[in-house]
Amino acid sequence: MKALPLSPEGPRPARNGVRRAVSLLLDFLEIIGLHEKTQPFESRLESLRLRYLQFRDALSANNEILALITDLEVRLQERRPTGPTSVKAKAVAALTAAQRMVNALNGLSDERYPSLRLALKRIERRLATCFGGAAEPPEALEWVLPLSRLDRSLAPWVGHKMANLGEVRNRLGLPVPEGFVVTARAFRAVVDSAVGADFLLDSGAAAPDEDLERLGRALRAQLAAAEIPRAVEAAILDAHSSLLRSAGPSSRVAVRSSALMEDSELSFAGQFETLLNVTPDELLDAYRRVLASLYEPRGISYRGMFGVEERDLAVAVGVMAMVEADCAGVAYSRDPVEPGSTDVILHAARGLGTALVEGRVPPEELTVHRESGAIRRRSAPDSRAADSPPLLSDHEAATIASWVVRMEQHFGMPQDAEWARDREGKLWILQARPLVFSQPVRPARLPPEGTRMRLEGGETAVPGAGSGPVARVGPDTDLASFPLGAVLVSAHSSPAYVRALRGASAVVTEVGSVAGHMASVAREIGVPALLGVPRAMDLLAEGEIVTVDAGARKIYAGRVEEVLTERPGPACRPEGEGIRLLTDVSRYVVPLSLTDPRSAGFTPLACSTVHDVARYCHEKLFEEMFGINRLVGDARRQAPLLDVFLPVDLYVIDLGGGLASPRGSRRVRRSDVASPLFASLLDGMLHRGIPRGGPRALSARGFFQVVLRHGVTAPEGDASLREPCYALVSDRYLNLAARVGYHFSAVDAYCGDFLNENYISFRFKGGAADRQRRERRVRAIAEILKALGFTVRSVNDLVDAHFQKQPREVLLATLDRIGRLLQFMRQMDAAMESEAWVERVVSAFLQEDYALERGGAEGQKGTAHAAPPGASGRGGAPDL
Amino acid sequence: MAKCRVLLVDDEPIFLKSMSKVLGARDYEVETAEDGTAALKRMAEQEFDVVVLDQRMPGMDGLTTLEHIQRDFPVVPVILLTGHAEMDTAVEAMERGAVDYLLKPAAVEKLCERLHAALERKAVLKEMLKR
Repeated sequence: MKALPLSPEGPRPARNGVRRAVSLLLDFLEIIGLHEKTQPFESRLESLRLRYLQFRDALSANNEILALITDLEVRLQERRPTGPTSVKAKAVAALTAAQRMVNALNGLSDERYPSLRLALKRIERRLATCFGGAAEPPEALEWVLPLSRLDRSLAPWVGHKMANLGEVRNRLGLPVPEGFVVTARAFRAVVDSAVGADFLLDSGAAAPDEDLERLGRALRAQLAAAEIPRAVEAAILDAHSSLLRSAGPSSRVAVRSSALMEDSELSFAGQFETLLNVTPDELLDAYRRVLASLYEPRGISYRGMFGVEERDLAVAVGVMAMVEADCAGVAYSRDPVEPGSTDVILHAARGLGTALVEGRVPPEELTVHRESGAIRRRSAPDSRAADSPPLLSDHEAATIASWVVRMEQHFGMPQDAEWARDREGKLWILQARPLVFSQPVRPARLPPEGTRMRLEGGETAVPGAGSGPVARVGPDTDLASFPLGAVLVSAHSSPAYVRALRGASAVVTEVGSVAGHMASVAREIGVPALLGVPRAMDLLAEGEIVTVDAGARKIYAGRVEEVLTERPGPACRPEGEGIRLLTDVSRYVVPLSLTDPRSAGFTPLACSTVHDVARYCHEKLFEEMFGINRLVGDARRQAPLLDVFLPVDLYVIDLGGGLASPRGSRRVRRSDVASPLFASLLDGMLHRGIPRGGPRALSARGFFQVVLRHGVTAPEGDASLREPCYALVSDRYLNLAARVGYHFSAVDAYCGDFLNENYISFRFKGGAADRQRRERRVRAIAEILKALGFTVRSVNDLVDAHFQKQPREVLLATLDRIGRLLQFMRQMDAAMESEAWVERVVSAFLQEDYALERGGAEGQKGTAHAAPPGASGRGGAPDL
Repeated sequence: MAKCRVLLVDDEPIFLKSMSKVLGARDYEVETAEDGTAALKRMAEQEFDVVVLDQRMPGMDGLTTLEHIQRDFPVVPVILLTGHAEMDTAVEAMERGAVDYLLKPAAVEKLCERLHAALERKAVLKEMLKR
């Protein structure tokens, strides 16, 4: 794409028809305005309305940017696994939203800010460098690729599982069965054809569990019956015939997922279907089944738990010649439970190895010395007769151990491999991925004298201790209703239990090993897990309180505080490409350097991030909107001041049907407000039960000060406190917003002709108080909003609440409550001295005890705030 | 209020079909075109309130189609909806006057919100151009 030519004064973007038309029209209007005092009233109104629409568009873009920034911050803070696809999508979304703001600002100011386009171009170019600009390899365009062409650089197109296997086979020369991969590109083609509008997948992203389950079921059914595009099908069948020709006598294959994020940042252990012994006739169905398993409830929960975006998911599928295994297992290049140890750990079981990783059979375990290959320890599974020969010979164990150590050296990180031995005695590597470690946990202290031991034994899969009532689960248990904080007890371990794991305080199984999928997932989440405890299902009663010390392999009766040291944290995971990209991209999106609009540095060219651009535009948008009074009448006229008893200077900008007062009034009264939305909000703000801040002249500490919080402790000296606030009103729209420094709050509401258009959005961000107060305040606001029927999301110091699809009466009544809340926040803030006040404040609001007069005593009418215990003597200056 | 008339332009017939269904269920009147040339032809025949345009299409791509629409039908807003996130295309499309650049999969709610905004804008522009 060619860049637009830039002149030294700023960019001269190719003007499109609309902008040209509008601009000509506005020029025309201006020219008319210069020559004649009387413009047609309708023209002015339309031009005004267009500006209002542009303004609204810019506000919505601003909200999108704030939400994106918060999302980026949270993902980085929590190191959430994020794939390159969604990072790029976020970068594009941020740029697009910024561009919308710039277009809107220039649109409503007659291109007064051309250098903003230049600044945005610069940000775009920097963002583009994050993605390297490297061309996709030719392999990216293939439907299938043989294993012989794979290496780890192809992971973004074939998934890590197959890319790693290619690396192991082609770079390390280790034995890997022949095979091929059906690429992520093929997946997308199949999904497009099966589900059609792939955007549908996203519509359930924020849905509750049951909806996700229903959506998942529908998607599975669609994928399982998908028509595979002809080109893809031909490529698969072709690769399959060549595989059968080269792979020898067996005509059967293994079909397994190689999803894009699988086996890298996250293990996705056991989340996808693996099909073994697939005959040629079954191949295409098997392929579809693996794709469909993407939408199993366990997978959806798992992804939800780590905040994985659907956009990052694409399932490449490996098809490998079947190894007729008589023995199989896993190999860890380090002990997953003891990161400090240098030994190699092998697990072996008879047969195909699936029973082992699914936790159905106990394995033989070997500890192998890293350098010499000597067997240091060999523990036989209980079921095996003591005199039968070991499953793996010393020589075989040493060979596998040496391979996995080489793999660790090659990949530069500890490895978790699957291996198998075929009937001829040949050893194979079937899988290679980074090993997930448990975070080290402080050793548990001993229980006090007299503590009753309930059970002992088993194997530590994840060290740490947890306590709670026993909840036994089996194949038929409804996992969606697993009690929070319970100790999950089951006969077998199963990756399907992931749904319950996230709420469990500990896990105990009768059978299962640290090599299993469930152990991997428990490590990733950080749930203490003790596996292989004989008869746990029989001996532990449903509902009985126990304390599981997984590290010490002991289960005690009751809750034993002494052993409940820290829970293990989520596992240390390798950081993927996505996190690196996220860090780079955030650098040009998140930081805010333009904080003070009064400073000389507050210029378009000083904008070096998307946040800066949004900040700058937001500031100027209000200025410009304020300026549109020029088009209403007198160029020097200001918006009318609302004459009400509120400790804030509130100006009203009428965008059509918002005010009933004569045009040009300098002051308007409550009774002049025609906008039903604004009227309702005002009534709430003026509610008699809420103490006000006294006469305006004496108090600049209005609710806005609280809502916005200016970040100063001596408000009297700060000019910014007397900054006016604007309400933009029309017959169906209300936007009341203000922003100072880093802090922002807005009520945005629309009440139109269709029920599904109606909404109230309430957003609150920022506050310069200490973390604890901010956190309490956010929690209290969120609780109140929830009680009012809002869907609330609060992350850090952002509260984002939505109320929608409600009939007009309900919408207006709710706006009244929001008005009260805006006012009430002042009381709330003063109260946030201690934890107990969170609940107190919420219930006071809901009981309409706005003055916080505990016990309903006569209130001190007109005082600025109630003084909760410990409140400072600063006369109620809010300190947010 | 009359129904909002949307022209969907995408080279993937299945996408067109399911998207028409989704928008139809939300009270939009949807017509489809499988490439840029067909889209311009449809627009010459009847008036649309908003165009939703794919970027990667055989023949005329989204950006070129956008340019033609801007020239021949300056009041009709265009939303790009593409499966491939490309920074330069996004900026270019916005510079050339697209009202938004959305990525598939886009939440249906969000798309409808953008359609609604585009519709309001078009109504005002149309009135202005009448004078």
